[in-house]
Amino acid sequence: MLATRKTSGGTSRTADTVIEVVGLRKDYGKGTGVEGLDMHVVRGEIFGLLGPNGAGKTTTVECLQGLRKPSGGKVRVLGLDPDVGGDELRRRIGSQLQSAALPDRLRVGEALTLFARGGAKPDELGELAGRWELRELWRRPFGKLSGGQQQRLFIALALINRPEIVFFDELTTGLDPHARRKTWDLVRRVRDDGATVVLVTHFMEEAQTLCDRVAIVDKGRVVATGRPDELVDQGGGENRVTFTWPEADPGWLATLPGVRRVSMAEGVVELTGSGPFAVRVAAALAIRGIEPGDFRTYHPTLEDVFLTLTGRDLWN
Amino acid sequence: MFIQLAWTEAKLSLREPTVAIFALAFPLILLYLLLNSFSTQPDPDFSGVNTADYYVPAYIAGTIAALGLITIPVHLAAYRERGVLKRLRASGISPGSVIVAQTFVSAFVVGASGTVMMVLARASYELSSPASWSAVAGGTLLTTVTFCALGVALASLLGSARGAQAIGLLLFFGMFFISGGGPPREILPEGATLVADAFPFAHAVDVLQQAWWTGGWDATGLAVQTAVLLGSVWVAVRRLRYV
Repeated sequence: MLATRKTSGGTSRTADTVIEVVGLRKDYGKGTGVEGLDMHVVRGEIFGLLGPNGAGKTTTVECLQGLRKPSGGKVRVLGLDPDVGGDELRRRIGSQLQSAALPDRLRVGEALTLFARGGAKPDELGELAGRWELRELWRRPFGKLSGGQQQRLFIALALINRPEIVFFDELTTGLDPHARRKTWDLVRRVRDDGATVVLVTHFMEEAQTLCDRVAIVDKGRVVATGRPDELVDQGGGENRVTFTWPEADPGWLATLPGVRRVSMAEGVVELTGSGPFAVRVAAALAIRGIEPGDFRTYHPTLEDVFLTLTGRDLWN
Repeated sequence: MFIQLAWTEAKLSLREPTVAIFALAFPLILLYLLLNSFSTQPDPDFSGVNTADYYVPAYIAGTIAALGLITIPVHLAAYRERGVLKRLRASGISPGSVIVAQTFVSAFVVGASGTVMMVLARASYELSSPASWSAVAGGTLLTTVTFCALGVALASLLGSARGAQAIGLLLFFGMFFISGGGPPREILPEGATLVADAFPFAHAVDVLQQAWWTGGWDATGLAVQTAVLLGSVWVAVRRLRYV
């Protein structure tokens, strides 16, 4: 059984903790809000808040940015209480917000100049625009940008004043798979340039491939924290192997190290197990000259972890 | 920083059809038509002044009312509805500075529109100089700030840009033609004058006309403008949300 609210991967609270949240509560008249959420984020990592819509992820990051006032609990971001030192804090962080737009008639260049708050020099703005492929869009109004172009602009705006922490809230929602993967590369670049990234997402794959650590959020609480591979190992369930095999009794496969269960239905064998059992199964089959064309392995994902922890899938 | 915001807001306002139509084109076209419809001689029906002296201050007030009742509520409600205010705040630009920038932009539009009206009326329709430039400037400033505050209060009470536009247009046109923008108030039925007096637009017209004609202050007008200003600020501070 997976331990809940786990701190792992050598990331206990240290001087490098840039965000600390203890028992955060945000009450709404109706609905869940946030009910005692704990998390901490370490400098230089991509930290993911993963959970279904309505889990309280956006409310949490808006409390971290001082855009909402918490009903209770302790929040420290870069050592500041966002509710008190919000103005200073917002000068040191960058944000891309879910469902926040710009005026349709505001041009890309005007947005960059405005959000630079006089802090960035023209050549820095030009460099930023070039880096995020916005130079050729400089005079285009926001309302005429495609979804991917708008996201690139939002990322550039979030990074414009060299923030120490960058918040991305549902960054890739509405993007096609190609644009999404491209955006992931851009987020890694942000981290590699030295910023800490807090990524809010309901896409399991995004959290799994992009985040150094993930907090799984459900109904306003963190139900598990850790590195994605660690969470999957501990709470995702077993690996599976399937292949078609006409022979009547595959029972001998159960004797291979790591194999837990063997079953067969309509000519398809399914094995579950742990560790590198799939390699052993493949080797044993190859020695016997059995080479099924549909040999497949299945690894659990963060989606399975969520299912194990909550009894529901991420989409419901 | 603030100058950058005000400059950006100014450019956005000039691209905004409601500003071009209601605050610039509509008052100027209507003023031109009215000045061509009446003689340039002083007339008892126009409080004893000529048409230009009557309508230029009234239409400066009309521009101010269009900005306060239509442009600002629609602009701010759209900003809130689309998350622009939240987006700006997350980057350290407060909703308050957006409102102040909008007020500056509105004052600039009033100044530009008023100048065009004065040049036109002076060149061809015998507009007199104001009895006191400072009284006209002070009255214009007070009514501009009052109607901007009223616009912010309306935006804080109305949920959507669409709702703000509907209510703003209703209030503006409901008041405009009985408050000095249409036939002179002296020849309007008494009932219409009573209704007009219940809204701040007619009192803004009084403030500017009195300042223009006598260089003095219209006491009732000043009191109404100040009360509406304070009331609007009170509502806006309590009710304006940026999310």
